Amino acid sequence: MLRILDYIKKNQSPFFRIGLLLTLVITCAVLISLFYMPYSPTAMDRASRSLGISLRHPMGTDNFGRDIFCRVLYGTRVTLLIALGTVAIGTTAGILIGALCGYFGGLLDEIVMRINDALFAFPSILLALVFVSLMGTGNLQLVLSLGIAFIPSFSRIVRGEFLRARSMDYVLNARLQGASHLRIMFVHILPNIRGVLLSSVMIGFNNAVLAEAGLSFLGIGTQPPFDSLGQMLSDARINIMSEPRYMLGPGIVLILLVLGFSLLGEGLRTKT
Amino acid sequence: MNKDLLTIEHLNVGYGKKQVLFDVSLSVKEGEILGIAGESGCGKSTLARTIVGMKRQYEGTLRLETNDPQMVFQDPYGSLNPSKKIGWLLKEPLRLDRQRKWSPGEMDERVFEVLEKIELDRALLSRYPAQLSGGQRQRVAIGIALMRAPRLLIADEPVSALDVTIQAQILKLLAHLHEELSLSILFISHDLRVIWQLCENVLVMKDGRVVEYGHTGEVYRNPQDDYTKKLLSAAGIR
Repeated sequence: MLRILDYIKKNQSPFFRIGLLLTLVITCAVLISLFYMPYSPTAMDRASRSLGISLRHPMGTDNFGRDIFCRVLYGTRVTLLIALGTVAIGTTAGILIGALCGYFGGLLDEIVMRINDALFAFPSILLALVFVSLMGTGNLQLVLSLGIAFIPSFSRIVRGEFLRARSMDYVLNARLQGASHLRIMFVHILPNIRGVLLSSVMIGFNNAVLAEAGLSFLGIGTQPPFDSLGQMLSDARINIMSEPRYMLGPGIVLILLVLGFSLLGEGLRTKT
Repeated sequence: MNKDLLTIEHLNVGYGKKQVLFDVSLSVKEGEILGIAGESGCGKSTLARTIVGMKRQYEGTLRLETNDPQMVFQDPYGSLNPSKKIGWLLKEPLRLDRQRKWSPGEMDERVFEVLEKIELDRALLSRYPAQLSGGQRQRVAIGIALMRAPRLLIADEPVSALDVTIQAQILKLLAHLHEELSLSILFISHDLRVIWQLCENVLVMKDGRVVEYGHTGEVYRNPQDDYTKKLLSAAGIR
């Protein structure tokens, strides 16, 4: 914890600081909403349909009388959770595949990396679209599809780093001391690539948020009642001419969320 | 007469189709410091890596009377894991020791013991390699190699990346360790002056072949091979 605080103090990059601020504000708001939410994001109220911006409803209400601010908070939570799940699957599998290929090289590396290249040739969102159509819609399926679609990019980054590290003297030294391959990979090399990994995770998180929003907007992402920001944008599209305000809340939060993670990733990358 | 700790006879080593070492023979006795001299790319490091078992494909005889030879690398910046603290790095050889299990208390004791030998302060244990000077790092690298009390130390250009004053300190340390622990050292260097200071015997290599091998004083006074003469004159010794 102290090391994290120390790192934050030392990293003078404005990208990093603005990114951190944006991400922290949004994450804190979402965390608070877990314990306190003034209105239910799903409860409809005929009497409060399409109310304008006020102190009681900071973003107004929608055509079903639901408080948009609370819905945005809930949607951000869903979006963040899906992005987290996606990155967790992508990173874990990416690290395992990348580490094995980069460290051992040889035929295994050739075969896996060619498959990787083939998958890499498709944009992640298109790949996710294919997986969603194969596995069906639903939140779990969405996380799995996006996670699998993100594996190639993570494994490529990790492989490159392991390939570079495996011939370094400290790795040879560890081998000489009798360290097993697993110990060298995960105790000796992995901590040294955490900077690169962390910035890739941030960028991956960002891409996952966008991909989820994109898929949900197309109607094959999250399913009601788990409305994500993308789903909210998709719903608001119907009223875009009469009530563009419905789109503003989720739209702005989505932009700030993506901007926050993007700047954070950039700040970490320029520092490392 | 001390017995041979390392015996190499007619060693041939290659990478793929390219042969790097040709018919190399040498021996290191217990408590001896043998210098291996030669220009970059002559196969010195390949020889070192073959001896410690990092290169397993070779022809010829390689007999090692100790099963735990240790190695110190040239670059003190690259040979220490940058993400680990010095204390962790020094304990790693003990954690990986297959001969015996070390308790945390024994590990600490051994670390302090070795720190004294390499003349470093205990305060450095909680630092990262990047927070140390080049000389301190090379001392730590030597310390790591000494943790399991090896009988043979292979030092691959251990002072080449250091400036002259630090070089002298490291050489003094190696000479001291050699005396105190009767440690055998295979000292690899392209610098004949450094070998002169430290080694009793010297082996000169060119393009993977041994061109001269004998007592350092004799070889330096009366070199038989033209290449040795050239190296000595380049080093300003003759």
